[in-house]
Amino acid sequence: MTPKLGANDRVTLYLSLVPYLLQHSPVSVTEAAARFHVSVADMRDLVRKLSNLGIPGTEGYYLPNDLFEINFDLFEDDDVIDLLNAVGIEATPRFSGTEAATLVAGLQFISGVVDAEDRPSVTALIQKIGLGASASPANILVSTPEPPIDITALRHALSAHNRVHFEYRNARGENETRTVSPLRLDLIGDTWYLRAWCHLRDAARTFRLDRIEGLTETNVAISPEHQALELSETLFDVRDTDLAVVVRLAENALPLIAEYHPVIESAASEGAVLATIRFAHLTNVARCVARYPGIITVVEPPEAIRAVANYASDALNGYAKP
Amino acid sequence: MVRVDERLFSLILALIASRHGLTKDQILSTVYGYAPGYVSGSSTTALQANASLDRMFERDKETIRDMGVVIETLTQLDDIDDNKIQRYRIAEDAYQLPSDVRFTPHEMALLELASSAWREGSLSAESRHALTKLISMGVTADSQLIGVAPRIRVNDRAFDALQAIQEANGIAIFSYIKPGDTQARERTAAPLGLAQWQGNWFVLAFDTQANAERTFLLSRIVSDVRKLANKTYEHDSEPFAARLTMELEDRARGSEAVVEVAPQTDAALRLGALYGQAIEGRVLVPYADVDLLTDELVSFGNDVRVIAPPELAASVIAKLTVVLLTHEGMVTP
Repeated sequence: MTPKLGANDRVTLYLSLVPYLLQHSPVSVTEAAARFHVSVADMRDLVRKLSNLGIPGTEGYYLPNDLFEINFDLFEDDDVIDLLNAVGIEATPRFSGTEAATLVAGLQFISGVVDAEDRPSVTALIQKIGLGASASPANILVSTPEPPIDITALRHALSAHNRVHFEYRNARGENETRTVSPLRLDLIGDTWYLRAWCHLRDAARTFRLDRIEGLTETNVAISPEHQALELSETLFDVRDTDLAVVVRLAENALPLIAEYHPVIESAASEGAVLATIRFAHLTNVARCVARYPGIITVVEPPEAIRAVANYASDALNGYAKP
Repeated sequence: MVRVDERLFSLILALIASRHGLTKDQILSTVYGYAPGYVSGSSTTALQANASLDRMFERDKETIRDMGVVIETLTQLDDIDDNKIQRYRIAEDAYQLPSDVRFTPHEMALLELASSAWREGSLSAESRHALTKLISMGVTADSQLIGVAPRIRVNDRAFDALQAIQEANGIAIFSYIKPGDTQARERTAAPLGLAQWQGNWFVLAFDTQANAERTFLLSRIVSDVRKLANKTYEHDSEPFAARLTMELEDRARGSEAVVEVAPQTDAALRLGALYGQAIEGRVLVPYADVDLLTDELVSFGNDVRVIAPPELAASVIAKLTVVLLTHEGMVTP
């Protein structure tokens, strides 16, 4: 979970750790590490290094009083940080223009996800972040994606831990009534998904919100076992029954289809690669390929190539021949 | 070797602690990370050694500024030889968060969620740094926002480069396929504002060849984005990204496509959810860009048929024809 820290990460951590410790030390290494989302080993290292750093005194030498000082016995014996002397900095630093911009854009993005009553706070926060930046926030904006259906009942069910039921229409237009234990609402780009335990399939499933109709909250509580379920990073789990399709595409076009989790098989020619993508249905293969005509071509199996060709010719049939 | 982060942190501390600022010589000869390499005097060895420290200091200054720490430069006349002497200093007011910028536990929860939305691209590091600074204030978030996981998509590979160039007021050079064209053309433009709108990233930029502002869709940039060396585009700071978003919205309000949707299909449900239920089998779809709507419509296959405008129908037909041509005849029937 904790990525390897770079130089800029560490400087920001030093600048932030000091004001935190001035208010909260003594604090255990474990707690400080958890707070700042770093590993315990990294936190120990930061604190140890911090005690060698400070300001050059009037004579241009670093003298003991000009260094950060921690209680070493407490640190080495009990794994507790107690900051005894701080130099130079006391308060939380300002955000850079880019840092502020990520918070502002992030706030705009989430304002569609949060409760309606939180929306004014989000707007106020955007103002406040701007005041806390050292330069005007960089010019980056993310517009607020509005949910395709009314999510009031769903939000309530998520916080009350109740099951919901709804009509779900799949990509092939087939309808089914589903009863699910809702676990999380994912907003990825401008597409909304419900992550849930599906009681019809008895498995974890992801549902597109724009395919859901007539969602109602039930009074059946979600079992603790389902509540504790760890959701995978990927939206759609690959199943054994999925069809492996080999496509050819330019290597630099791979980010376009990242959400399909392509596995690169080999390099083809002229910067092109062959990649395998797993699909639940042939319809999905055609939909994916049709978005990137001439950029992605299905290589095998034959039934997938045929499905793509048929998909295109069926759609073209709707238009009169010139 | 002193680690880079220890040198940068020591430089910040030294510049904050000194009330009247430090000269470059004072910095290079005393600050941890520089001092051991400093040679006093004016011998050739000294000049060479100090010149490389000097370059390191210039780079460090930029890095520190990018982190949000403002370094002031004070110029004053030296009494003795009448030379201009520059002193560097970090003013406490400019360094620390103003005292009225404080957050409640609930605001902290919103900010954590906002920061967590950046998980892709170079801005995820920036948003992590912003969060680290927030955490230093010691406010614990109340946890009422569990149950939602928002994620901003940054899947255009041009994004990171454009963002960096925009931040440096630089000029970008890239190949771009204009909608309706089949060939890419090289463009040089200074990025002014980046906006994600309906799931797609756009950049408002000053095109230095056309000598005018242009809007580019990032997914149509087909080359690496490079920065023109030693060139900058100086301009007033304006809310460019907000203006870009407004322009896209205006454009969408001005153009509406008529799409016939087969009843009881996935398309009927999803387009209905987005743009209102079909009336007599037809949905009106506002759009800002023919190509983007084409992409959306081709993924509904024969569930949809474009009635108007003609250029949208032509664009859908063209895409489907390429799909057909690249796949039919690949297998023996």
